[in-house]
Amino acid sequence: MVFREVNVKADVLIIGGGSAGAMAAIRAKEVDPSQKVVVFEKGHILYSGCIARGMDALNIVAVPGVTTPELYVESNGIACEGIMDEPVNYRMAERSFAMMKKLESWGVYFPRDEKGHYELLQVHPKGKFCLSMKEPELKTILAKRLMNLGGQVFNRVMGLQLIVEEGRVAGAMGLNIHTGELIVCRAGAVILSSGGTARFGLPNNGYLYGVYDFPGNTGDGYAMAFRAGAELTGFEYTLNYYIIKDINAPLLYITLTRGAHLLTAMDEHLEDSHPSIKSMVLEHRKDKGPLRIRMRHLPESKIKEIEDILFSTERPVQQRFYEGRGINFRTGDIELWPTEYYLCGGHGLTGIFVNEKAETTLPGLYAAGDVSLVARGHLSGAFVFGEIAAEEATAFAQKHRVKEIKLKEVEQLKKDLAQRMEQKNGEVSIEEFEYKVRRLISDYVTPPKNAYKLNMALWWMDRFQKEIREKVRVRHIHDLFKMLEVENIILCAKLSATASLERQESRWGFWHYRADFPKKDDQNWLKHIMLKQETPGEIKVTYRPIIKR
Amino acid sequence: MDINLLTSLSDNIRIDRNKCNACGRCVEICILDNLRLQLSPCRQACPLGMNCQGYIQDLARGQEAKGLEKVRETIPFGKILGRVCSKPCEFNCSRIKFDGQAVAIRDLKRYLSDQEEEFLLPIIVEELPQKIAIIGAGPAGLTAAYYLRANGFRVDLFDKEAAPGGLMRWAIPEFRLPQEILDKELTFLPKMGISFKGHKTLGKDLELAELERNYDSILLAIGAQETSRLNVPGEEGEGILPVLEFLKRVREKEKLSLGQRVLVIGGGNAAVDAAQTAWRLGAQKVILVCLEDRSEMPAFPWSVEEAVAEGVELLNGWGPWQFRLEGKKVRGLSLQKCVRVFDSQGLFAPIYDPKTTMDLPADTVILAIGQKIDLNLIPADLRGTEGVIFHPVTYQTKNKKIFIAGDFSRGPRTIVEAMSQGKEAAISIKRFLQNNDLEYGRVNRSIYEWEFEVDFSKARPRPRMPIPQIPVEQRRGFQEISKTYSRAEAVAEAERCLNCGVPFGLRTCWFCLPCEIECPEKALYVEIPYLLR
Repeated sequence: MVFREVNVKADVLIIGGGSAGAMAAIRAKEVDPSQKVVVFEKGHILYSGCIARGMDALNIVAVPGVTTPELYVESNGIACEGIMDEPVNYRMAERSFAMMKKLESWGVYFPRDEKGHYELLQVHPKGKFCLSMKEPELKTILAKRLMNLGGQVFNRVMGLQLIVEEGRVAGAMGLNIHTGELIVCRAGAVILSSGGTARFGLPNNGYLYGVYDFPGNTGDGYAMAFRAGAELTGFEYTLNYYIIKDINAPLLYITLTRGAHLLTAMDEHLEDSHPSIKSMVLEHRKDKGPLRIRMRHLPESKIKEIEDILFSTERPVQQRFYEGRGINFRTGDIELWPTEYYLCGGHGLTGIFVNEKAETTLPGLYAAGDVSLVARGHLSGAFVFGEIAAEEATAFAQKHRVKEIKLKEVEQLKKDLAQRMEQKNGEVSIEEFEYKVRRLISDYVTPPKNAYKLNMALWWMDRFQKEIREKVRVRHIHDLFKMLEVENIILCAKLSATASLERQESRWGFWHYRADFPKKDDQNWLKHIMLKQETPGEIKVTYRPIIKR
Repeated sequence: MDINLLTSLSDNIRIDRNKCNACGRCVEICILDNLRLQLSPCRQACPLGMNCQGYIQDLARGQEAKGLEKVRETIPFGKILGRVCSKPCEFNCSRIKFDGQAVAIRDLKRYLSDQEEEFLLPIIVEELPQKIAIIGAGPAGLTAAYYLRANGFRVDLFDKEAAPGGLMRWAIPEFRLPQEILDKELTFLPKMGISFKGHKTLGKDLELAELERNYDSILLAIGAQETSRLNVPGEEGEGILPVLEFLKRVREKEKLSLGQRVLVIGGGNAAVDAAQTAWRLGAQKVILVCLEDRSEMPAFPWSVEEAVAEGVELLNGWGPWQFRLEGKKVRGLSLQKCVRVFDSQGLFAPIYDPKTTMDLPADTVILAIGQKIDLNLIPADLRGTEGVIFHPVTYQTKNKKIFIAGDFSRGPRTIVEAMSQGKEAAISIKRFLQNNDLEYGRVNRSIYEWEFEVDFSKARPRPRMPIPQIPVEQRRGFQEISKTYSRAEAVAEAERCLNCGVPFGLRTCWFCLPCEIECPEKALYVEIPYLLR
């Protein structure tokens, strides 16, 4: 296979066309309609990312007169157990209401009551920040908007490598996973918005793609940023959710905020104690699981309302799941279970380090959405920081002209890809290989953690990094692209094990539970653990203090 | 069969074969690259990649309008191709493996296209400033003109003849492609604002260098204009006509006196057209002489069959040796037996037996031994030893502004190939003018599966619906030979389609549903994978 080089120039290049990337592209064209905005999208822009069927809420909106950005920062600081930079989160909350109004003006539906008030739900420790939305077409609205504004989208293009020149990021190379063409995009500035690592631990259902978060997210952005020398953080925050057993689809706040009961296996009620995912995971750990959602006491109108949301938005497929299992909300319970572990900046704390301008530690590189650390920012974080990244990247690009130079990296990358394609007769299919990688991630990288397990994880990941280049079968471009994804998963596991080893304490409930350091230690560990590559293949660990406002 | 961890799982993508028409939208849209399409053999064979299976299934299901739309989405000239396409699709049809007779794919396209009275014009969304000159208004040039104008470019279409159409107007006889049909298909030119400039011959009225100065891009679609010669004594005699000249004079309604005996030399489509035309002009005896066996003749077998049925005689395996002239006028032709046409490599290299000869009397001889590209029409720096040098995917020449398409690219081919090249060249020109990579995404489309087993389990023997034709005895005029199927006939024939192509999943599904939502037929249902169900 020839990896034909396709040269493209852009003022702003966005890698990943999900929620953050699509919003960044729109904003970049709004700020400067004449600039060229290019999006690399691994799937298809119309639906790609975590919100293929929209979302039921904008999780963080500081509605004036109801809550404030200050309250949000306080509230999220509690949820993050102190590992949170305030300026970033303040900026997000500060712009959240305007963001929501903007979405509304584009036709996104936010239900209001008879008095015209938005529906606000309390899912944070303090304040009602979660604003109901009911918009299955959220992603298509964004995608169509960005295309109408003239954003140029390259679907089926997986970002592989950032181009670093004279100490700044000046573009990226991406692979078209259908044609094998290598796009070399030189850009004034680059925004990474390619999601977290959803295919990380192995889900209990045994289906590689049966995960909670969008399985197209394989840590591509983490890997690109790390290899280019950007600093990453929060990789010890190995997160899982506690949602519908087997299908790993969410329903929690939609039901709990509308009066559903939450029961342990022994029928103890938990709904009144403001249960969080973190606390439910802990209940499950105490052998109280499976916890169950019960709605049979709710009036038919409420159940209808819940069904109406669940069966239309975010993961509407769950209707089929219930039908298949014979579950009716009016009579039966919904069993919950911990999902697989994953890495995510939007739900958790794992991300490329960014400041309140969405700047990473590399000039010219910006990050937004789950790939970046806007702690637990969810969709609001993705949208607001998508906009901020676009504004800042545009300004940067205007000062840094796109250069036309022949890159030796292009030839190196082509050679590397060609070498991979030579593994036609590898003994192991990439899927079998991925299964083993993720099984061992589940065994050794995820909690309960201890130094022995984490060191085993590092040993295995080193071994996998070699084996993937020796044993894996690459028959065609599809195998090649899966191989590149799995390679990124392995790197993420290595980063996660390294950070987890470093943080010699336990924090965030079970998510970073070190059995050998079971206590939280604010004295020593109220700081970010930063990871960076200085020499290829090596992970340098440093610390960064928490920034207050 | 390659079984791995995933393919050994069950496929959770459910396709209702009674609804799916293999359009491939689900495959295009899947955000996890989980879907693939088994590409039906008819579609594989079509130079335009037309979803024949799709429009035939639409027809079989009583959804004519949808079927017509599918044809139109691929090419606006369904009425033309429905009549004169070389129908490679039918040669590849799975039905041949089942009962020996392909589905009448071409005539079903004709049926659908004929349901439309007026040429449906595209909406030109935005007017663009760039100007494009297209030289040659044959199938390639016309197709390119349509698509470039539809994209908003300004298009001037030049041709050496007075009216557009190329060989479709000046060579293909009206009994195959009635002028009325062609004229109707070409109404798009003035209506879309494409300026047709006739009587403009490249090298005479038009200079490439000047065009380059005045236009942003140029498409050369001037066909294969040079007539091959026999190089045998007497070839210059009166009454010996090159086939294109003969056919054109007939299309121009010139009264030709051919005499009683007409010989046509050549075994291709033009030769058969000429023979049938001569028959219609009142010749008493029309003999088509060619080197090849009947099975080797390059002409479409169905055309040869028609000609023979009408009364044209075939003389296979003979080659001209010399003309017999009386004064300047041709009176006959001497032939030698041809013992071999092609060499072991399949190249044209005839060998004759000089001892076995034959003399045939003739009043008119029509030479239909092929056309060649006239390379003198373009600058030397764009040519190689074989012809114009161009990129096989983008049709760009060594001069980045100049593109080529149609018979001028690879020599005489078919109308559908010319249209396909015209369409591809238009895509390239658009990208060129908008500064995008010309080749990107146009090859190695790995989303299709090309080899797969066709399901014959539901097929029932049913002979091909005969294509209605006017009786042989009425074919002394230029009335169109074939007729359009009636609705009942078309539907019955469409029902013979085995509906071969179908999408399937790779077991990497997240059941996120875009494939299902985007399916225009609501034929796809995403089941929860068994492991999770």
